[in-house]
Amino acid sequence: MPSREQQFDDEDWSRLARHLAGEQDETAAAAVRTWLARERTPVADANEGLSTWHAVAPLVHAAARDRQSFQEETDQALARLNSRLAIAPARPVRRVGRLGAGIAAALVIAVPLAYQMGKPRMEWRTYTTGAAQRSSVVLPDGSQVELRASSRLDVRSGRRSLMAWATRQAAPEARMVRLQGEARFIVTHDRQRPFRVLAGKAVAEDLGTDFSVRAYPDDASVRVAVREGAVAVRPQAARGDSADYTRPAAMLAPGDVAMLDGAGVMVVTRNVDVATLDGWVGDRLVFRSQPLHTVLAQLNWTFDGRATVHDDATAERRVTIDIPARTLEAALRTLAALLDLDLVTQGDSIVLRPASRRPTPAP
Amino acid sequence: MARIRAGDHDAFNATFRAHYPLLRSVAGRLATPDQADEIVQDVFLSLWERRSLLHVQGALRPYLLSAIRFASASRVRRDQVARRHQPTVLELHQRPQPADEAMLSEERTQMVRAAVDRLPPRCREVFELVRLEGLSYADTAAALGISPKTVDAQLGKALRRLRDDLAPFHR
Repeated sequence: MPSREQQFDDEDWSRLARHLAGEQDETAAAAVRTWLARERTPVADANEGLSTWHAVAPLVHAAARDRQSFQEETDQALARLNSRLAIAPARPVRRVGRLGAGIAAALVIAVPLAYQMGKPRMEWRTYTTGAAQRSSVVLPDGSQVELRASSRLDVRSGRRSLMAWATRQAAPEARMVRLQGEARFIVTHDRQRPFRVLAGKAVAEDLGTDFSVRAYPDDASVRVAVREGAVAVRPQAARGDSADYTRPAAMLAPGDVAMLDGAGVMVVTRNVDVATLDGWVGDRLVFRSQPLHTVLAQLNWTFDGRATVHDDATAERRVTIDIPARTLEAALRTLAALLDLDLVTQGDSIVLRPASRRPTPAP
Repeated sequence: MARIRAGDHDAFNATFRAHYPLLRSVAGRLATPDQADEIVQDVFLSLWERRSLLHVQGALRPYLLSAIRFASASRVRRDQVARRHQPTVLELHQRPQPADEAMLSEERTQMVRAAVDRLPPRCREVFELVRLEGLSYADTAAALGISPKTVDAQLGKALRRLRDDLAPFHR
């Protein structure tokens, strides 16, 4: 093969950059994905280009924070500008005379009212799933959430404050949800408004990505797994409604999984087969080389069932399957056939045990 | 825009509010951050004073970005004249140290920042406006006074150079 096959040329770099910048329609983006997946495409250049793009994420977040602080300084800047224009709106100044007491009394009412009007109106909408339930939610911005069993998702609808509305102020509210349980997020790209997931003691923040978060209340740790795009995971600030920006973030790329434990220690594992973690989304059960007891725990949890294993040796047998998740019975039958096990019903539970010896048929 | 031309001060204020954060951020990248606020003010001051003469075609944002570019350039020139007789200090950049697994994310961030700063000026501006400010190629082209085609080429170049410069990240 000629060596030019091994490396990106200038146009290749521009094409990759165009793709990452989102400067393309869906057809062109699909063409680039095909190109990236092609065998002869230089793998090292493509991968390193992607990881370079994502390595800049901390600067992207810093720039977003800067713009946020400029946003807060807008009114002061406008006041300075208007004073330079010498057309500051003429405000009638009233003298505090005999009516002073009355005005003071009015202020007592007006000040808290103005404060209330200035506050963004926060409304939370809640979605929940019971045991063995699953739910799809489409958020107002078009982002999609697949909610796993026994989960709860609170979505903040960012209403502009009355004051902001009155002054026709654009309100680039951050998109924010709170999660208890597990969910997969496919987030609509909006470079101006990061999407934040508050879960357990973690905050996952991203800019257009496919990732999942697990944070069940009975488990102190939080897991964030990324399929596409880049996600920053930080511990939550003490106040609990935002990230602790004084702490270093873990920057996750596709295939990265971060575990944040109850003590705030974060461990990132790279090159994970993330699709196996999200098997529940497509209503499939996906396991690669997992012990049978893990698989059963998962099944019981998914279907709210009671399946157990007969003995330790069977419990430790490794299972690799990818089957549709319809009913507990169907899944157990597949498992039993695969591992040559018998299903025995005992009370309200089902026990898997090695198949009983049948007499060998006579030749 | 028509309302501003007609002298509607409320419309002018609303335009300022809507565009101030992004324009200030961009001005900080084309000039220096401490000049940014004044540059945006200069642009709006001139916008208001010349409102009756303005005929903006298309969207207002590219127009404002391009105005930011002119105001930044003239302010940078003014400051250079003022500093002409001062000794020039050349900035020496250090190559990034080899990274190891335990490298703190703060150090990584600084390495990335240093790598972006080492890009050639035009290349850096294109990369910052697209990647950090989230501007489209068209808006970036307006802000820098170049063609979208040049934005495309420069961004590819930036990505390749950063890749080479951040080699320790890929191991």
